[in-house]
Amino acid sequence: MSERLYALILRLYPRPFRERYAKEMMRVFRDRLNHEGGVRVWLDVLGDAVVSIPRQHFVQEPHPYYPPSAAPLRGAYAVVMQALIVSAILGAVFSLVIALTFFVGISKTWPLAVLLIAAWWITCRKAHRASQTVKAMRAEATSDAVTVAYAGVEPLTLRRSEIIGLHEFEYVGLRIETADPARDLWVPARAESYAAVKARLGQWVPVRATPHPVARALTNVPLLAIVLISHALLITPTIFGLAMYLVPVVPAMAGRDVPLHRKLLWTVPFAIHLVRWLRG
Amino acid sequence: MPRRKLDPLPSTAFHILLALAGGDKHGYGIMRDVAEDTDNKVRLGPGTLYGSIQTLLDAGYVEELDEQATPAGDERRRYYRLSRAGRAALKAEVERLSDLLRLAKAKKIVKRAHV
Repeated sequence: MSERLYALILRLYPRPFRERYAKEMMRVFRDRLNHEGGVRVWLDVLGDAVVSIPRQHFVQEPHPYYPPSAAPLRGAYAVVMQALIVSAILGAVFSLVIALTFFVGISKTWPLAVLLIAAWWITCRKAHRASQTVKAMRAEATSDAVTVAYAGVEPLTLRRSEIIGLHEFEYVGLRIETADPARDLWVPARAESYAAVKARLGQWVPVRATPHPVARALTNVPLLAIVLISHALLITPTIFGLAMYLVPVVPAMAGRDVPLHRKLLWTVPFAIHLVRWLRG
Repeated sequence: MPRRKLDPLPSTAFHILLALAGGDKHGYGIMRDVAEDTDNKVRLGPGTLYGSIQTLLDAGYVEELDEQATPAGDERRRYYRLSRAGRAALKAEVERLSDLLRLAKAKKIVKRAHV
């Protein structure tokens, strides 16, 4: 059964990679199942798949359609999209945990809850790493040029005269457009210098903006706050419910760069739940 | 898509080369060695492992050998070998890390000798 499920996961890898390595990957999976516990192997494999599948879809050799110079653009986009995909999966897993606590009662399904929380933890760690990769990208605009540098490719520079447009994709980044799309550059929205670069380039050419409704919904703090507070008020307080809240509360409180509203988003429902639990 | 740059070596690639420095190994052997070398702190998933192997093969740091039976005599597997260029890259990375360690010691971030 496990091997059949893993064979399905392998089908999500791009065909060239699959044709070359699927057999070996299945052997590795089988070896690990034989030598380690099934749950641990599955947690590792799922966490690995979340990161490596999107990556492999973008690290394959460029399609002949793309000239070689298009590669850096696609690479940067892959990293940004990977961070977004991981964040989306993170949200979906957490929503699943919430839904289960609503409809089933987490104390009755604690083994499943523990499994989900563990999966959520792993995804959270992967999301953090992806986020760090994006943050590590460097973009710098001088008086007549912009340079973008990120892990994996050589730094790329465009002169001011080459830039014909700027297209901002909400939550994703800024596409710096040139006459040859293969030479376009991306500045990821989470790059530290994003605001400064956008402001500088905005003085050269106007910025077109495209909203991202899905990402906006996933990161809508008031909406999440309503869901979490309703949950804390409606569900019967249990030790597992508290544990579920602690999972995001601890990293939120420990993170130096977590804004106050994010900390409140996690701690207020936890406090409500805790008070209700203490009052019996 | 760009080939991933290997200077400096990414952590996963470094661990794989280090595992292969001990001899030819198949995928699971590399994974097990990396886990043992790092007290299970680094656990490579199959996708990450073979993605990195692909990058190292492209860079010429690793050579792919024909399928052969394992010492246990079970099914045949594909083995990987550290190439001369791979050994040089590994050595360069170790020296880079040693320099960083020396610098950290000089700045009294690390007190005791760890190497």
